[in-house]
Amino acid sequence: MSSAASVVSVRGLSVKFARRTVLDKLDFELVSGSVTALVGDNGVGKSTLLRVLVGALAPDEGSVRVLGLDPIRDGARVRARVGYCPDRFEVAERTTARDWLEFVARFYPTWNLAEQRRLCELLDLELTPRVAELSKGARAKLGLVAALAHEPEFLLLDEPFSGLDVAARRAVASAVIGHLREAGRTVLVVSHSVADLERVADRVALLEAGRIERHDELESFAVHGRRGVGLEAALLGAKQESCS
Amino acid sequence: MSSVLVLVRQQVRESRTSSILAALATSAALGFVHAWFPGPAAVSEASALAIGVLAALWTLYFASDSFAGDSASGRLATLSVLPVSSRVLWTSRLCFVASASLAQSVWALLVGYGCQFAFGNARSLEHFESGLHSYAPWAFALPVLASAGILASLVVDSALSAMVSSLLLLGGLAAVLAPLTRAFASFGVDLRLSVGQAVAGAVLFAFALLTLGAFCFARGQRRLGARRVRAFHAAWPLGALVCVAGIATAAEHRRRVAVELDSPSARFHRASASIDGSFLALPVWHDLTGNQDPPPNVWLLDLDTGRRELLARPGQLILDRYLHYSLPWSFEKPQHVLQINSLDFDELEGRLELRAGVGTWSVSTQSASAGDLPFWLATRAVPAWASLDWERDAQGVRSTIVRWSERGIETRFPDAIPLRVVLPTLVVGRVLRLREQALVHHDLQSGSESLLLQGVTGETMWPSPSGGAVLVSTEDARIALDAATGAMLHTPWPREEWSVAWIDSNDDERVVELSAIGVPDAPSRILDLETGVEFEVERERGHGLLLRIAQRGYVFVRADGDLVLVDLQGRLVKVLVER
Repeated sequence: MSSAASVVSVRGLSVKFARRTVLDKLDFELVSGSVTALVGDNGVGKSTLLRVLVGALAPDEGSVRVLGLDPIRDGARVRARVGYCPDRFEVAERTTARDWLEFVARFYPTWNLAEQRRLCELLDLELTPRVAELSKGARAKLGLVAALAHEPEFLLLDEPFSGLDVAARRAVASAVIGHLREAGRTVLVVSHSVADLERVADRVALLEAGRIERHDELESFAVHGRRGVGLEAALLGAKQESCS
Repeated sequence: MSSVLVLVRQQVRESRTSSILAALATSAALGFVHAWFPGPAAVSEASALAIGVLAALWTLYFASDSFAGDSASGRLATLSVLPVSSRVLWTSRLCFVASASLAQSVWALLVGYGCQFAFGNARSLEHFESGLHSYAPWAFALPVLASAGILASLVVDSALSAMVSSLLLLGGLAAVLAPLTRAFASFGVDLRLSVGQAVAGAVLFAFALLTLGAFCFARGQRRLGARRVRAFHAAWPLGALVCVAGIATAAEHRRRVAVELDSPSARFHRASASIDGSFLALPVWHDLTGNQDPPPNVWLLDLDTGRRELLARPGQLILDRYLHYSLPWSFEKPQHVLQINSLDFDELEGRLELRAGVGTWSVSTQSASAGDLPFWLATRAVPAWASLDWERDAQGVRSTIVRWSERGIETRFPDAIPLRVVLPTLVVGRVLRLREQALVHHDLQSGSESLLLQGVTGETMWPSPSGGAVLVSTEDARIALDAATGAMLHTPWPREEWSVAWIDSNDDERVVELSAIGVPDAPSRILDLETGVEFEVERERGHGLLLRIAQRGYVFVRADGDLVLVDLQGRLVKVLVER
């Protein structure tokens, strides 16, 4: 049973690709208003978990509730209330950034043009070039704007800092995610950029061997690390523990 | 604006370049046709054909591009995280394919008409419209092409691969379903379709393919990025269909092509015995109710040991070229058996030469083509001094030409069937001829004729297997005559009472089967005209087989269905095949 304040409630979630089990009877909850960093090694299933939450991947076992809805059965309704920025954001090359945002906006009744403008200014994103002419970072920014401008209740970010320059990373970390936290929105962010995560997250979930090994407050998580100094050290410590 | 329309509009924008290029290519192709083809009729018909081909091509292209490219590039995954259901995405793609294909077809028609108005005249326009009308019924193929293209584009990476795959898919299905149609035909179910039925069938087939596509797309949308999911869900129903159809076809093919000697459905009509009477080459037919009965299987049966051997499945015995009796065989004179392709009964696979030695037999396989068939055909009813030809003259009349090579004599008998009307006899230079209801002896040397019998009814006579005797009918009797002397071999049988037929044999014996007329279940009688031995046989008339084997006796199918050998007095010697 998910609590009333749970944005995400996952029970016994298993996902297999061919014979490889990526998520193995995973239990996970996200409370409303939290910014949670989902961390773990490469290939451990972080992006897979996000795709399950957004309804882009059907689990083999288990139950998933996002905002009280089943993402597979009510995928469209879930996605209307959720912002999802995938790690790979591909759109037609000949489309301009503006055209793309106009196209996406038609699917969201809550699309906020002022918010779109604010985000574009904040991230320094030009809307006139075609997508083919955009840098990797600019494409990532376009994906972020598309995921955020409809003011989602729950935001899923998959490697949002990848390809961004330092200024943009700070903008995303502070102005974007920080703004969401202040607005009481729930955010689940996957990244290998530990420093950026430390800047934005208030909770950390460690995914290992297909399960959430630890899910704790950022401070508590870092303090409990063997070295006791910061998230990166804590993660390294956890890694060493699991190896030994 | 509904989500479907938004998605379609976006796709129209994204495929603007390819749409414009397709339209330009259409214009160029039709312009080329007008520049290249001479004459208003040729250019108009070529334009109509080009429009049909281009419509099919663009339909296939847009269908094949519906998912493949976007899926491979990840654009489909990006669209999939919009707040729309997989059904909306699927519908939008279908709408786009339909509208793009329709737009290209309409454009091709407009360009075609434009060219007609610019360069043609009233006559060429008439040809053009007539050509369009003749291709119009093929429009039903467009939904099939589109649905196959869409389905293929779900499982491959590029539009080109999808185009090729969809054509392979349709070709493969056609290859499986065509023999299935033939199999149904054997049950008397005619699946040949009228135009209306074909259109309805094509629409249903397209709908089935699209349903399958929708199913695998929806399954794939639940596993975004895992193309194998879509491929699997598209492949298994098709695979199952192909397997079921293939198994059904193979089973039906086997049922039609293979029949065992002791099967109740086996039918025996003709057989050919070795001259020494030890072996029987036995064609076994199917008792099928259908309109495409397959050729028989040919078995070899050892009459002494009962051993049986399958020679050809299916195959055909070469029989007497004129009389269709068996040709007795030995080591020196092999029996030819044609091996027929089991999938195409019109195709020869090879020719067997079956030889009989002392207590043994051998078979060798030779190449065969239908063109060589005349070289293997033979008859034993023409004596050595004569040779026959059946030719059509300039007026179209078929004549039998009898050649007496030793004397260099060649006589033409117009409108005469070889051996049935003109029969060379054992007396050198003498021909038995049926002419104007009279049986005469014709002397080739002098051209003179001597009357043997008048009042013969019917157009033909019935020579015995060796040609030494004939059966003819008069108004009230059936008569057996020696062909060379004209002597009666038996007192005439009253025509109202008896039906008389020669019994095939592997020697020169003159043996007849007498069947009482008007008494359906009465046993028939076998009468040896040489010895006068006569006895009753209860044989199954559904099987034509009744063969005299040298001095051993007769082979036939008994009333209880068993294939038996009886001796010359009609006593059972052995059951050859118990059924």
